[in-house]
Amino acid sequence: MEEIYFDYQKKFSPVKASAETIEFLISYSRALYTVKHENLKFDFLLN
Amino acid sequence: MSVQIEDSELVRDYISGDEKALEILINRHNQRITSFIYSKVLDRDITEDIFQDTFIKVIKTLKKGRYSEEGKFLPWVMRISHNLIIDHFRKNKRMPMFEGSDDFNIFSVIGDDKLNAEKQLIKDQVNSDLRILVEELPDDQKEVLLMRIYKDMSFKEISENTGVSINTALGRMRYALINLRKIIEKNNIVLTS
Repeated sequence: MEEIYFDYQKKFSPVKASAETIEFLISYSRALYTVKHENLKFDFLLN
Repeated sequence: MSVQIEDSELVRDYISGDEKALEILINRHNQRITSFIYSKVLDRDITEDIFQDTFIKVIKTLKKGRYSEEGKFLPWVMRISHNLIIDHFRKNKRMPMFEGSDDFNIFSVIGDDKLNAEKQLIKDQVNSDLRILVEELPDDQKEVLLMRIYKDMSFKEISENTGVSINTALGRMRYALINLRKIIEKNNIVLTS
C-alpha cells in the first residue's frame, strides 16, 4: 500500500523544468533566425 | 489589479519578435507541461530533455509562421510533448538491452507478442488519434479508407460497394493517404505504434 502511495505521489507531484533549461530555450530562441526565400524557409543559429 | 495576457496574444507578440513573450509562456506553463512529462517517464533528466525538445519544436514552428491553432497554445504544446514521449518510448524499444557483459541474453532482443499496458495505451491513443484525423478527410476518400483499413475490404469489393471503378477507388485511397500525411505534418503529429 505504501509503495502504491509512493508511486502515486511520485507520478503526480508537481515538477518544473530547471532554470538552466529555460535559460537555454530563451537563448536558443534569440539565436534562431528564419530566412524566407520564395517558397523556402531556412533556419540559422547565430551564436 | 494586474490582468493576465492571453496565451494567444503572447504567441502573436512572440511571432512579431517579442522574445519576452516566449519567456512568459514557458514560465506560465512550465509546471503543467513538466509534470505531465514526468508523470509518463518518471525520470527527471529525461523529463528535462523532452521539455527542452518540446519547446525547440514550438520555437521553430512559431518562427516559421506555421502555427495555426490560435487560442489553443497549451493543448498544442501538450500534444507535441505527448508525441515526444511516445518517440522516447519507441526509441527505447528499438534499442535492445544486453544484460551482463559475457552472456548474450536472447530474451532481450526477442519481443513479446502481447502488448504490455504501456504499449496498449500508446496503441489505443494512436488509433483514436487516427480516427479523428480520418474524420477530416473528404467523404469519398474517407469512405474508401474506412472500407480498406477498418473493414479489410479489397479494392474490388470497395468498387462494387461504392459504384466506382477500381481505379477510382485506388485513386481515392491514394489521395486519402496524401491528405492524412498533410494533416499530420501541418499539426506536428507523430503517430507511432
